[in-house]
Amino acid sequence: MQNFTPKYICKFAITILALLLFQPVMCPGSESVLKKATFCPQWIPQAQFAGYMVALEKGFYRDAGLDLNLMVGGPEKPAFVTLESGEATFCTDWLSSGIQQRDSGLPVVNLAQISQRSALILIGKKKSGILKAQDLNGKKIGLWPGQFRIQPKVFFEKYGLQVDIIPNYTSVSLFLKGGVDAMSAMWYNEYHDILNSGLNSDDLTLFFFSRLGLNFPEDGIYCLEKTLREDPQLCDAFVQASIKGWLYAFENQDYALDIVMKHAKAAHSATNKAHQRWMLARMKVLIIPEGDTSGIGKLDMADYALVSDILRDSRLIERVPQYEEFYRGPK
Amino acid sequence: MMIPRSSISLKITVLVLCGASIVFAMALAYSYFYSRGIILEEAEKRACGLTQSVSNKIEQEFRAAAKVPKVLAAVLETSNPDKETLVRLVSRTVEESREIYGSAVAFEPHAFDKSMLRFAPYCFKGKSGITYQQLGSESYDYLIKDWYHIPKVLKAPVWTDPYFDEGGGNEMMTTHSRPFFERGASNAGPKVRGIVTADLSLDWLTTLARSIQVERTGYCFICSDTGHFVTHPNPEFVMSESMFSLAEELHDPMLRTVGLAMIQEESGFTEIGRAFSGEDAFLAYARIPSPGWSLGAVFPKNELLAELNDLHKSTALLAAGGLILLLVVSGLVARSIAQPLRRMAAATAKVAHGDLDIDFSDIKREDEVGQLARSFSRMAQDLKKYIKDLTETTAAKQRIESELSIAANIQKSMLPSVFPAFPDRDEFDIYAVMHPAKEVGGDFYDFFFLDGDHLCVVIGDVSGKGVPAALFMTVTKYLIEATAVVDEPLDLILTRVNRHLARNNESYMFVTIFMGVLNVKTGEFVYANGGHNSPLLWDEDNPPSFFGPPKGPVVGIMDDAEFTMDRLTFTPGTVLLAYTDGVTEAFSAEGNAFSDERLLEIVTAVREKSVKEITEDLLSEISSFCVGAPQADDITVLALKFGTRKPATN
Repeated sequence: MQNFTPKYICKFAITILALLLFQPVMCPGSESVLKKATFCPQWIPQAQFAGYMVALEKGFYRDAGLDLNLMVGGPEKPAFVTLESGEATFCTDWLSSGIQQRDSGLPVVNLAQISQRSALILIGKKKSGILKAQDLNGKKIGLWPGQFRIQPKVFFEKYGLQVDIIPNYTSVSLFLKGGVDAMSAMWYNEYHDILNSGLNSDDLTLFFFSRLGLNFPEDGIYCLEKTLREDPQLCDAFVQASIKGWLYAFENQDYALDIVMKHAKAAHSATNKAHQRWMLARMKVLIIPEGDTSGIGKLDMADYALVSDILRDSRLIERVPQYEEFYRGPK
Repeated sequence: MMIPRSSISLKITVLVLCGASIVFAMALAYSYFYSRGIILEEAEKRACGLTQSVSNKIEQEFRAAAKVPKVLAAVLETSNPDKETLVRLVSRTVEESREIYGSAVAFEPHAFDKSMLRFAPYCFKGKSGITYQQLGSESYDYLIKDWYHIPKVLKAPVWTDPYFDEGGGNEMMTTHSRPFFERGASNAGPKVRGIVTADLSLDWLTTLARSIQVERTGYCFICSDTGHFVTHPNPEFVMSESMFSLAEELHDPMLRTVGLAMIQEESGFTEIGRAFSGEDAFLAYARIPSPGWSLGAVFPKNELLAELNDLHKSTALLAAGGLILLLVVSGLVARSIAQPLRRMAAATAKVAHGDLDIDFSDIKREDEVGQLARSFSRMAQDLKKYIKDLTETTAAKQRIESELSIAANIQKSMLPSVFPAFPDRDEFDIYAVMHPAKEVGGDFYDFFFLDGDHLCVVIGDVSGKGVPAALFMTVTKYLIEATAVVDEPLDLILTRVNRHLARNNESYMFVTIFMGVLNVKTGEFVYANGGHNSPLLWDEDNPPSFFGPPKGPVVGIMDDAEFTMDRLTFTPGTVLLAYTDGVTEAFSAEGNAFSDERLLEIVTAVREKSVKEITEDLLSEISSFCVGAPQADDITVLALKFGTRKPATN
């Protein structure tokens, strides 16, 4: 045991004094040094964004020096529009949308490619005779508009399928009520909606675009080039905290689900825990496909090339943006 | 009284109770399942009746609401009203309909007016009466809404999924949408011109579902054609959860099956376990045909089966009572059997100790136990009498035995038994032994001097054994002793003895007698034989042999029997060995006779010894030959050696 010598007491007093003097610097949580930022997810609050919600709830953004405002996204709030208007500092959206935006003149930068795999699928009813890709020929297929049609159209072309495309919007009702034989769906969302509306997985045939040579990585984090230029630390801190949030959510799924349900309820979104549990589990597969967390947030060059080449070939963009200019990645 | 663990009464009681319990249990189980079937059938009828009637009621409302778009569509397909007329028409329709909350007529792009992309007049019951509103706008694109899009694609009327109308009365709604078509058919079939809708507020549905009493704590709920809850006592479930999401979250696959049945079947009644409502329950459901929804009624199992449980509680109580009664009765019965038995067991122990004072007269029963008790009493009495007799007999026997032993002593004392018999005479040596088979015997021997030189030697064997033979022998011995005098020929002596014995011999006993008189000076030996075994004779030159003078008749039967006399001369060292047939007819345990041959052999072996030694050796040979076999006849041996007597070697 150390003796309380005068020398020791003196040292102790100096330490205390130093702690008191440098307190604001030692506590980054204090309001005065937090940088304000706003984040707009591209859709309504659900487990698709569990990582960001958890990061906020756990104070990861605060720890990274961010005073983050999490917006409620949805069809009325197109993510890139909020970025352009300055309403949001960061947003998420699909890689294909990001490339299109940059090509069309909005200088967005991909800070991290969170989702590595395409979760877009086609769901066909076996009752309508759909068991394999060729069976889609001549069938009524409900497709969402916009970027959701890029992969299906390339797929139909590739397989030489003549299909009757019926516009489909926000729900799976058209499919359930027999308006279409197949529909586009997100593996983590509408597929489960259908399962939980009384159709069994045995009744359905799934076409994963990720397995059909059309793996379009989806959700990525974007900001304006200007934002990155002015405060790269802010951008990196946001990405790091978000990734930390995702990893925490995957490790603590029940906790994450409670947070997701809280946000969904606040947004008056009619959902249930079973659905969000399913979605979170799928997100884990999409974000860390092989369970390897080292590659989290990376944009694979080949994936980028595939997506941008298809976009160019489909004349949705004029030029393929430089990978290095478009993508920054987690630091 | 302590009842032993293996007692009959315990066994009987336990067996009866076990048997009765099994029977009761089987009867109870059968009656439970049988009545359960009946009650469930009744409950099912009741439950299905309830859900059916409620769903019919709901269906009426839906049908009434569906009429509005039908009429409007008919108008729009037959006429072409201008904007004002159309709005008035819609407004009037909403006003006059009790069921609907609002109604819209939504047109395809440019279909009403080529200059207008969207046109959709909407009238609803606002706070200040019927309110008109134009639905189509930049922020509300009705063209992509389910209520518009789906009937358009299907070209058929649909009921939409229920939704919360946040803009209007903040009520839960469902909309009936019906397409109306352009006049004049084209090649591709009728072309949709627009959609007519009727909004049906669902508050009344919630109220209705809530008002239905299902048993005591049961409840009703309604789920849509996708299994989503339209009404449910738990407001959290409404529109958020479906039967399937609950099944998934509760890990209850059965619930999913039930959910599928609800959205696919007309009606049903099924058990849904406890996951769904927290307790074991049954679910009755019936379809509401128009929207394809399903009304479910949850019946808590214990309430549905309350009657059954009550019935079985009382049945079980009765059974328990019956078992207790049975326990008492079987205990009493078993006791009534076991108690006398226990008394008899105790009495048996008493009897074993010799106490025969047993009284079972209080057991007045006619059954087996009574019989046993009576037999037992009788047995004890008989035993008592027998033991008394036995005691007396034993006493008598002991008396006779003591008398016999006295008689034996007397008999023994009658025969000369002190050896050497004549210590002062050295001309001869004599030794004799008589072993009676019983206490007293019929054999005898005797020797006495008739005068100073003549030694009379007698050996006899009375027919039969025991006391009669002993008495006869005594008479014979003294007759001979009294009759034998010097110079009286032996044949006459025997004749006289015979005549005495034969007279008054009513028992027809007889005696064989060998007697001889040895002149101890000269060695002359006169002898007569009355039916007796031939004695053995040897001297230093001749080996032992039976010497065979005429045997003569037995003594005591015929009073005129004649006997002959013979004589020979003993040289010094001559030995005469007389014996009774008890020697040669002694039997071994195997049933072999000792026999003349064996006698001869043994005597030959010991011929050189003294008369005492010869006699003792012979007797010991006989007794070792007869080990294990009772002595059948009196054994008598008499040995006489002529010549100078040598002192005994031992």
